[in-house]
Amino acid sequence: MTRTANPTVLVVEDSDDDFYAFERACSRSPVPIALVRARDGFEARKYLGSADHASSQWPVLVFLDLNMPGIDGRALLQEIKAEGSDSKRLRVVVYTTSDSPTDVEFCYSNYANAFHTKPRDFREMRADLNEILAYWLTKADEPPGDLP
Amino acid sequence: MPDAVDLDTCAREPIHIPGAVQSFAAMVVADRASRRIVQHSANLADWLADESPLGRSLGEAFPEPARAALERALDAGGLVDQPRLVFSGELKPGVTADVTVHEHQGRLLVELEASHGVIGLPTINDALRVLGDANDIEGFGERLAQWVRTVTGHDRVMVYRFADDGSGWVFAESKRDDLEPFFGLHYPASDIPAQARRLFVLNRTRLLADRAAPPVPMRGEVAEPTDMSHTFSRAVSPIHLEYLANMGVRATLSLALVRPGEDRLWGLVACHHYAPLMVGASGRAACETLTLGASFVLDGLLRRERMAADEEAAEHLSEVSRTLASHDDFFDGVAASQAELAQLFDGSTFGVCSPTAPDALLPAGIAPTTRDALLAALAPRMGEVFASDHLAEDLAPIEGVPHAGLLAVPCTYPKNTWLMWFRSAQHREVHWSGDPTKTVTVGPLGDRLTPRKSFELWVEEVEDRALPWHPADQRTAERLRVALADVVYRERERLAAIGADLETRTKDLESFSTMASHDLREPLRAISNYALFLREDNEGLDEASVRHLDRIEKLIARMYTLIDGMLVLSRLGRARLRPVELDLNQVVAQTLSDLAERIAATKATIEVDELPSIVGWDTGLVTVFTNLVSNALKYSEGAPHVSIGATTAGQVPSRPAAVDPDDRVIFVRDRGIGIGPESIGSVFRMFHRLHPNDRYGEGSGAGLPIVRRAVERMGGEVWLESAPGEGSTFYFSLPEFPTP
Repeated sequence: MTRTANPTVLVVEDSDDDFYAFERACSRSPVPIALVRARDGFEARKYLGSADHASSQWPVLVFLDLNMPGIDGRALLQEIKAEGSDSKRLRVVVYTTSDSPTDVEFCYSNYANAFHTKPRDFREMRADLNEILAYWLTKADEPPGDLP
Repeated sequence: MPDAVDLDTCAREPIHIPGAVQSFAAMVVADRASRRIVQHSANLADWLADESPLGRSLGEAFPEPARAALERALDAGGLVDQPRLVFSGELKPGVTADVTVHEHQGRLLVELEASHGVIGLPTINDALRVLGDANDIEGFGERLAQWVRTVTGHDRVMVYRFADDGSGWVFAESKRDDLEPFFGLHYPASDIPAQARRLFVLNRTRLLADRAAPPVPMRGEVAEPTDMSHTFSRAVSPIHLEYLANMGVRATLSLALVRPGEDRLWGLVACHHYAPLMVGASGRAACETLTLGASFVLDGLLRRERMAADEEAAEHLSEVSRTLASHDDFFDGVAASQAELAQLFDGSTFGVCSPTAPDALLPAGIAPTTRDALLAALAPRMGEVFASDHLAEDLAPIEGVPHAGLLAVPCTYPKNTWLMWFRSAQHREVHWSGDPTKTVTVGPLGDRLTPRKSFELWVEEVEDRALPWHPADQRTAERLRVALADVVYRERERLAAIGADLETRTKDLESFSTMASHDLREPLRAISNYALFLREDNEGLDEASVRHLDRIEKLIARMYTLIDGMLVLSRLGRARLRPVELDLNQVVAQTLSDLAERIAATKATIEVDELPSIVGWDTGLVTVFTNLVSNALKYSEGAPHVSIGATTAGQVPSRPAAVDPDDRVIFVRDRGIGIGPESIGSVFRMFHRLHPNDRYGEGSGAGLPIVRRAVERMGGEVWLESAPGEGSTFYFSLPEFPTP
């Protein structure tokens, strides 16, 4: 895991190929970001547990894949958004190959901030990702850093 | 005696209160409580010194020691409906009598008759032993007739048996050699009226000593006529007397055969004599003992007969069940057990009537049209055994049935199936050895009261009747019905198991398809990405490499199409059906607008007839139309021409057999390249493509399987008519959905 002064974006993605594509798509991001990758739910939980909320290590955005071995995206989403959890206000964008209505419904019911189906075509994906990043990092207000 | 008695009043004649006794006996009737004499027969003076004892005490009318014996018996009691011989000896000089007494309805009835010889117990003992050795009913009858004749000395002794309908026939006879045989003679139920049958059960011995001797009337006024049901000397009905006169018979003795524990007349031993013949108290007692013993022997024989018949039937039945169970096809099983089935019921013709059975199994003489009429008539009785000896009356007159009797065992599966046994009408003949009316007079009621007339009447009654189905036959039929239901039940279980297995497999397959397509997509996406990265990172690639990358991307696209097809198919199988009211015109319009780009690109003409509104599954229908129209657009040499319309299945001769002719059918017709007969069968197979890729555009091979799956989920069927060069018409049926 890398540390930079750029805002951290956590990508929970088990597939190396997909993460490689993700990285490549973000390389032309209009907003400079620091990508942190977690290979599964365990790694993500560990990272969030150790990162300082006040520091730049704390992600401004989480991209979450749903289908992963071990703790999958659904379980992780529920954990992050659990009542009383200090990660509750993290902005979670579900980014998955799934387009199943059941998954969409599940994620929003568990307070996902957005649900995006990965486009099949890389060029489309790149365009989409850059828009998503631009929106969350430049348009949307950040949640306050202090916990109530 | 009633003045005018004819055959119509015969059944109503109160034969138990004749108000007279036969002349061989005398009767004294006393009030039970006071023992005062209230009635006596007019011939009492022949028996007692006291000629007119009316109003006197019963005992006083008799001399000692008869008086003491009688009073002892009265004091002891137990005489209600139980006549008891209480005295045998002299009543007045030169008159020796047997005195029998019983009590009935508050009256004491004392009967006097001449004492006759005593029939020894050894005779009865011999008779019963011989009877007990009988192996069957016929042998039993023969022995019984012989022994009764030995004991009583009548010219003719016949043993009758009664059918369920009350008609009777002579099944055994012992007679003087010179007499014409009555063996095999039948007569209708009306020949022994109901009240006579009832009396026979109460009082099983009935004597007529001399038909020609005038009956002796009773004297003494009583409010209610004396009921003589239990007496032996009661006078006989004039109709019966006329019948006997017509036959020249002077004396009779009848012994009732009643099975132990029953109150129904099973048979009758009828003894005829052509001269007066008295059977005294001892003789009658002997006959009664013999008959009682005989009824036990008879009961044993009947039980044995029934058990043997049941055992035999059970053997046949289990053989039949085994054979049926070992055949997957019910009718194959029936064909294989035809011989066993045919043997189940005597004198019958076996066959199967079912809309689905092969004609070879039809009962002999029954044409398919007759079968249909039979099935229609029996339909309301499905589920129960039907047995009739007079089909036309009990079911319906059905043309072309050459039989009078039918025993039919239903089968719920295969549907509307009956195993049938037919019996032809009885043709009975008795060979009269001469004219039975020739030597005798015919009474005022004409020749009706003769055995021959009785027989003719019976023949008339049974003319269009078959031999009735024996209760044992009906029990066997009922057991067969249960056995068939059991076979069906096992068959259903087998099918249910197959169904459950199939469902599991289908589910497995669907979840496999879902998993496979998801898991296949992932690497495919990566491959697709890397192909792109190669292209992006290497500007100025040589022509061959660019062509290879193009090819890779094309192949990826095709792989995606295949996977998508698989996913759609598995989703169709799992989707929940939510039938809603739909205007098919709108469904088609939506499909066409989705396909607008391709329709424009192919310059296709699309005609849509007015379509109905239905209750249906919108997702399924859109899927079906999209795939069928895409297909039509794709497989065309020139500009495609597609027409969409609606009809009913009955209008489409090519419809599969399972489609209800009333079902709504939608068709999509094209003038495209068509499909040859060799390929029609395989178009609905998964991933089966008829044409090389690129020839008519890329296809997933899943389009028509998807159509079929969707239509099947809506309860319909899909099929096609096609000829190469002429185009194809796809039809799909839409059975009524239950209204949401």
